Amino acid sequence: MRSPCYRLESGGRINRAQALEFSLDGRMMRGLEGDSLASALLANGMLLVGRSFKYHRPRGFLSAGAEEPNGLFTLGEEGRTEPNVQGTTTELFDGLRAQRQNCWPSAELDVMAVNSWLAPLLGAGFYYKTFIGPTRRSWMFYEKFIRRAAGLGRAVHRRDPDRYETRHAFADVLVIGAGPAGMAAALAAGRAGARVVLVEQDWLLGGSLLWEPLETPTAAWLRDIAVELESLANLEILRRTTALGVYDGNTVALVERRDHLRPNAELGESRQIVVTVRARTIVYATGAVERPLIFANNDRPGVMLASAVRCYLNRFAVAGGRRALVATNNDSAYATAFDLAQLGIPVTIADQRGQIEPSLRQQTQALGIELLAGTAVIDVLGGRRVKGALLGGASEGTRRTRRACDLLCMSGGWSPLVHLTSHGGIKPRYCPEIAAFVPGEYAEGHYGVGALSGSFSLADAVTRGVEAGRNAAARAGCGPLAFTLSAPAAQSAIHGGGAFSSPRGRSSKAFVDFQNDVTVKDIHVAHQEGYQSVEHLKRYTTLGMGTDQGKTSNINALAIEAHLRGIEISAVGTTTFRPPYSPVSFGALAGRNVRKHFRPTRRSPLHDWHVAHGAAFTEAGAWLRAWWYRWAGPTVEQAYIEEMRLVRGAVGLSDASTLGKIDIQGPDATELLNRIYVNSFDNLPVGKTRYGVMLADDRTVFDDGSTTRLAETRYFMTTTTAHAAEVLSWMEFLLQTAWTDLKVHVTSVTDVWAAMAIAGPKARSALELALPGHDLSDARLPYMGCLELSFAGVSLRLIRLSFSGELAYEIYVPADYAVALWDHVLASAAPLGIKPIGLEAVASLRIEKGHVAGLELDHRNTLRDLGLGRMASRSKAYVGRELSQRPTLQAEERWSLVGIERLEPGKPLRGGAILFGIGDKIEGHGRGYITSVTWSTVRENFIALGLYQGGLRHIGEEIICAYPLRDEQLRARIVSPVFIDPKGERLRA
Amino acid sequence: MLERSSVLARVRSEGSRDGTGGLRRLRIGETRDWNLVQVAAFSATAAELEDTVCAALGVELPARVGDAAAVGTRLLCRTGAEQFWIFTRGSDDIAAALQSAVAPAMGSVTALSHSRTCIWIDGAHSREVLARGLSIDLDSDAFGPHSFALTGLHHTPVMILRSSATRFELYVLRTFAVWTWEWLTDAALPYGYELDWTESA
Repeated sequence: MRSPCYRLESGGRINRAQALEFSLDGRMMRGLEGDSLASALLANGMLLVGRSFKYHRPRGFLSAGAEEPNGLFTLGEEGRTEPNVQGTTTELFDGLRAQRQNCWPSAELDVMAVNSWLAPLLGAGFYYKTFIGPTRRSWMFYEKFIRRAAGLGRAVHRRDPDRYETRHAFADVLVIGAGPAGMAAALAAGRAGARVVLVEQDWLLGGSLLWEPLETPTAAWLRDIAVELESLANLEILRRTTALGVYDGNTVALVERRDHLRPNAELGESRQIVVTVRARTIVYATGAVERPLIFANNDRPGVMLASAVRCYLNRFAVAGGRRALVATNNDSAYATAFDLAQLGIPVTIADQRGQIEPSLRQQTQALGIELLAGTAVIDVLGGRRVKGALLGGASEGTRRTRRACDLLCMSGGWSPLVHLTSHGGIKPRYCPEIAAFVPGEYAEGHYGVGALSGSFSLADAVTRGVEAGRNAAARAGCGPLAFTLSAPAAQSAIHGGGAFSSPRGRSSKAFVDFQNDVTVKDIHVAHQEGYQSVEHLKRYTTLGMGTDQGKTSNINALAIEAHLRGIEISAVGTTTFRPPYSPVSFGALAGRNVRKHFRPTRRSPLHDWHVAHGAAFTEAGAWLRAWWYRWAGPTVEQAYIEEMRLVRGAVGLSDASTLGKIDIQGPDATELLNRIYVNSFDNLPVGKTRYGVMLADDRTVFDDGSTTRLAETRYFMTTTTAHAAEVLSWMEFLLQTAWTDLKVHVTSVTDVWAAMAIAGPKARSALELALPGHDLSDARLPYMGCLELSFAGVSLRLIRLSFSGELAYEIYVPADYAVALWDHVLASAAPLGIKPIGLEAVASLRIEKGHVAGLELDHRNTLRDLGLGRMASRSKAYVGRELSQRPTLQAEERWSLVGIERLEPGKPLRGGAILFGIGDKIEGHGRGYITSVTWSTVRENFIALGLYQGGLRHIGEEIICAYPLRDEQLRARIVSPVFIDPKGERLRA
Repeated sequence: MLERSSVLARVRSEGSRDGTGGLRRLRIGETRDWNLVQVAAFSATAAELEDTVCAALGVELPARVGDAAAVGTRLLCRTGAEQFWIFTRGSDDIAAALQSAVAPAMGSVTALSHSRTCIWIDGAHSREVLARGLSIDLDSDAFGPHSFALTGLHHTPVMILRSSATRFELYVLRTFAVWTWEWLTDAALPYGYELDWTESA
């Protein structure tokens, strides 16, 4: 059957010369430039736009704006698929593809519509009551079926090819909403010289003025103001932009949509942009939404808000039907009736009020409109669209009559949109005159104008808009300005607030919340079951949830609950308004923080060299570190062993640039070190280095590293790679809060200095080849000594210390010279067989030597646990000292550091394995665990470091290493954690 | 002789990019051959240090935190109540001179030249590109030429300096420089950009 066409032959803010092709469920249709998806569908006679959430009832558009609960579509395809998009706010563009949701096989013939017949069983709390058994886990079974049967659109798992962006913006005056009040405010502030940002979610400025017919003084006024706004260089207009939330410090999050531009991601063009605006002042001009009336079957396609009908009529030149019934409890719906009648559409007005304003009565007569005062809609006739309505007196028991119609326009009054003001901390206040909430007291620098304030007069909106714009600009330091603006005469000046109308009876098909299928009956049930608090009511019935967040339903629901409880609506209160005001895509929130821009990557000064020379990389925090080199083998398992052998037998060079480096200067530098390290630095001579360990406040080992005294009042500290920033921040914190008397400066020089470690029995020879002319003998540069020298005009720091247990040095060089020096060292010492080694080998060499590192320094272990207890000074105070004296931390049976050697060849020793004594039951947390494991080229066996209950008191004992993830167990022996050179002869060579 | 190398050496092989409409509305590059030294006083010695630095350099120091003063090829930035960053060009490396002038009891002098990479962006749209990551008002009334700020750009610390109406310099930590470069050139994509290495010799 061919659908009727509802496009009018003239009028509307559309471009009839520009046709746009789009599709719905694969069916091609045609709209016009300026159409929304909703208006284009209505123009094509598509009133059935989807199925409802729970009962799969046929639904049509209720509104023409962001409050729309029914007309949700899945737009796009493949990776661009975006579900739950409102057709009413979607600007039509050529090639748009839309699908109706929550229906199968089609919206017209939906199998799950059977739910509608089961509605009496599916009321509030149905799931909670029904799916509670028979076992505790039953819900897990039911859930997937329930979710499949009910719901909205579905997201896809494909990569989104579009690009999203974020940006920051600043304004003296931010005006949210470009209706008459917002435009007036923006113009006044702009003329005063303020930097103004005007935000409008629509693609046209005007708000409710867009509902007025074209050839009117209102339309001319709108055009003039828009032109003037555009001409102001200090005013930025953001169309197609929604204010999502208001946050502390006048920070407002916006999302700007650019789909209409068909952005090309390859050219860096973004589909959506999240804008964070920081404004000195905010003018809220967010308007109001019309409330539905509640009667049986008020959700049938063809039942629409009266203002929406007027919007489609005058803005899009679309008439939603051939014969209209206007049901109202206030004056505002009369404008719709008049406009319909003037187009020759037969109209009946059913006004619940007995007394009608004489001027309205006269106009209805003049236009041939049938006016039924004291009359309400009782029920709607028709299935997939309205066919008529059953009318009755506004009070119970009056005679019922039928009226045929295919368009039912309803108006239950107006609710100001207090969402954003509520985000900003302005508590809503109930206003009985309009039966709605308005913002309470505004904070300094915040202003509310227009319908938001509960005044629906156009003249008021313009006057107060100008005043707010002027005041906001003045507060931002602009102006003063003598500026007035008069409002045009408009039909919409007859707007009235409208009182709440109590629905008839408890019909299970009188909907309060259209999106979540919540009926009057559901609210009654919730009330009877004790869910009377508005927050409980919301969660028990799902009222006010979903993508529309109850914009059209909240007040009606509150009124019903107030009636049931016998209290005023003001006493019921509201639920909490939270951002976002309307749905926002995850893509927009993520912006460009995806893929390689997801998080920062830190690269060593030698990174490119490693890349060019076959290094494989591993992530270490933000760092990318050279893991192993292909010269040593094709896999990490083979390569790191070869690299270890090189160091134990000759000499290897590793990149240590990632170490944290801190410059410490000042007369109290030594005192600072004494306080943060457990060991003393008082007697460290200039030119010497000392290993230090620092504790956290809670006495656990925080970090370790070496610190070199460069001068009496200057030190060069290194930290672990992982804790570099933490250590610096912590020292700064202590100096700025606890130790303000200390004269010390700490500065990160991690990026100033590149570092390379040269290790192996031939390390000194290699250095002598690389740095000819410098005395590097043991006498000149002993173990834990430091030399500052100049090579080829470049200042170097040479520190002799060892992580591997071999003779070793660390060379610090200004970062820009790192590649040159690295190349030079490798070339000079090539005759000794020097080669680069990676992180895996370095980490394995330290296990052989028994040095603790990040895996042991996990903020859980004490000095004693790690075998470092003897380092602690008894003669000075240091951070963590007092707590470390607690008896429980001195207990002999604490888990403490041990070495572990495998006893069963052929079975791997694994990091994380749980340790048990022989004869223990293999379950639970055991007696400890393995922290670090490696193949030892010295022992030719797997060795490990671990924490074991009682530690080295069990040396020589056999244990079981259990790895439950692979169901493995193997025997091992507790040994000393120092596997090589316990006397330190190699490193002192 | 050891040769200095830029951390951005690798990205030099990347080409310029056309933006929307086939235009290249921006220029992006690296500035090399500059020096940075940090001078800081203790709270009790702030005035003394300022006098000493003024005498050593022969210039007045900026009075307020966030102020900068250009004197010849030197740029003096007051980065904290008692802290200054001083940028110089080429062989005008003043770190050693300041170290000998500032006694340890008065304050500290730390050479930071190698810690940062200077990436610049120039063009009428440079502000829009930077606004994609910087939460700083870059309007010329609020952040005019010679304004600077120590801030964060896309999770990393940076110093931003406006060197002219259309040109901004980002002093980024050397180890994050490639990452910042990738972010910046990606942000500049829709405008199109010409890579310019003339200042990185």
